[in-house]
Amino acid sequence: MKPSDFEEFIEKAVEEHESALIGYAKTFVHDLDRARDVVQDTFIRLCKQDPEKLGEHLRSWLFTVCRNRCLDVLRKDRRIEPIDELRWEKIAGNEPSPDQQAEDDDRLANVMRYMDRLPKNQREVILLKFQQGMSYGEIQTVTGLTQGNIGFLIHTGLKRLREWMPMANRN
Amino acid sequence: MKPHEEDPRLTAYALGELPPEEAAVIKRALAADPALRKAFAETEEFGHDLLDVLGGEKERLLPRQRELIRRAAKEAARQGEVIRLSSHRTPRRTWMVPLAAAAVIIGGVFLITLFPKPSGAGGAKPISANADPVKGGGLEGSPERGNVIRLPLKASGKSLSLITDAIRGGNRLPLKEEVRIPEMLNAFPLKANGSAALWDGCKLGAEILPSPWKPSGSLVFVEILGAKDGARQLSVEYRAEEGAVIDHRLIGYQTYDSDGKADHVSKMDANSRMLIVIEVESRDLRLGSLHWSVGGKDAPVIPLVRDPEREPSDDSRFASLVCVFGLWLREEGGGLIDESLALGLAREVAASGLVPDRYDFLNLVDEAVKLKEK
Repeated sequence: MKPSDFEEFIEKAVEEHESALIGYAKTFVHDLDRARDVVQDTFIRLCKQDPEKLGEHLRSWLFTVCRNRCLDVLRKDRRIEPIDELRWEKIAGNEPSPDQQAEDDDRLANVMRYMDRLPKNQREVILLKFQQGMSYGEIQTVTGLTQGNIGFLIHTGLKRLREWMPMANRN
Repeated sequence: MKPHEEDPRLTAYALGELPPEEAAVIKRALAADPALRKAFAETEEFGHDLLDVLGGEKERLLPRQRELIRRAAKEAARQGEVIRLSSHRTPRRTWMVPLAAAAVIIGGVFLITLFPKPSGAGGAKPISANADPVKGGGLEGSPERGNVIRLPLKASGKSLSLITDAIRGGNRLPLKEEVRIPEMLNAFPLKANGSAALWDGCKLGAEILPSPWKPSGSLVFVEILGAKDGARQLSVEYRAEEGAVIDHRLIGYQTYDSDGKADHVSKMDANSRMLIVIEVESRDLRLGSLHWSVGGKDAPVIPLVRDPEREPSDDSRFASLVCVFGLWLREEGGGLIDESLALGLAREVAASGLVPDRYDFLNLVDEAVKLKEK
């Protein structure tokens, strides 16, 4: 691969996957800036890989590396699960939403507040499915769980969320 | 099984994740059962709501971060720093060997059970080059059969240097007698990042992770640290969980019976360190316990219970790679360890922060695979 092609490959990968990866990383580290740092680090690691070898598995590779980096960050910070009230505040804000805050942000914050009450494996597979649009097969590659297990976790997680979330908070 | 309201297949069907034949079963059940239809409609509606909310998040990297990545890409392209680990098969999640391997493993377990079975507490000595796998003397795939294994406290040697010299200097794969996994492991300062106990200045730690080559197995990394202020008489034993553990063995060692010839207590030098890997196959999460004594006095026991949720540390991932590489070089993986597993693990390790000697080891794995191809 020519150097210019390699740079273009990285540029395209950033363009296509940065938002999804930041959203995913944020579910682990619960802080936008830290999530961005993890994703930056993930792409810098991508710069040391051979694009031809990654091939069609680029997305799985990025999410796997991003996941490992998030867990490293949590380990080093000793900010291990379960999450606490302070972290919820970081996501959702404990003050009334200011007028300028977009409605979508409010809805997301509400949903994330409930998502955080789920066991971490349920939360992770639900986010990979609904936030990242991954198939069960892709989730299997990233998490190492079996597809049967993934199906069970998603089913159970959705059921719990439905029980917890009043209709008003969904929309 | 007839679909019901709590059936995970209902959710999978709503998400388009069921294979056609199972989807047809659910479709028929929905047509026949109004209660099931109601549950399905609720699941589907909730899924759409969730998709609507979660799918809309679009955070971006900051401009300076994008610039940093651009520069890293430019630099890597210019210097040719791209790690080009050979790829043989589809990259895979190496912590989860494909289900297809399960049949092979089951067969392997049956074969393993045919090997001779020592009794009582056994010691361990490093595997020799000429051990005959068929006779069970030194096969790294052969299990330790007693319920107790005394753990060795020293693994000094130059195996890693010999392997490096063979591959880089001799342009050949190393001889079996040059590949001694305990020496390879202890050439790196690796830590077991799990349960630990301190006693009389010494430390015993353990970390458990799934075996990369055997889905039903676990690897127990045991780290022993000598006291800072002087040598100690130390004894460390692994005791398998009765009724749960099917098989266990020390990676890179062969057993010998406790016939009085073995040293029951050994000296642990000041500031010395030892890492040992035990492969355990258990019916459940209970793997056994580590019992140890310092200067003849019993120290706190460390129970070994696998936590499926726990992520392996970088050190244990790397130690797994060392084991896989060693077993592959010795051609002792029983068909479960091949170059693609070694390279897959190397890719995973490459994703974590690497110090120079570990980075060099990844390159060594890659170079060895290329030599094998020739």
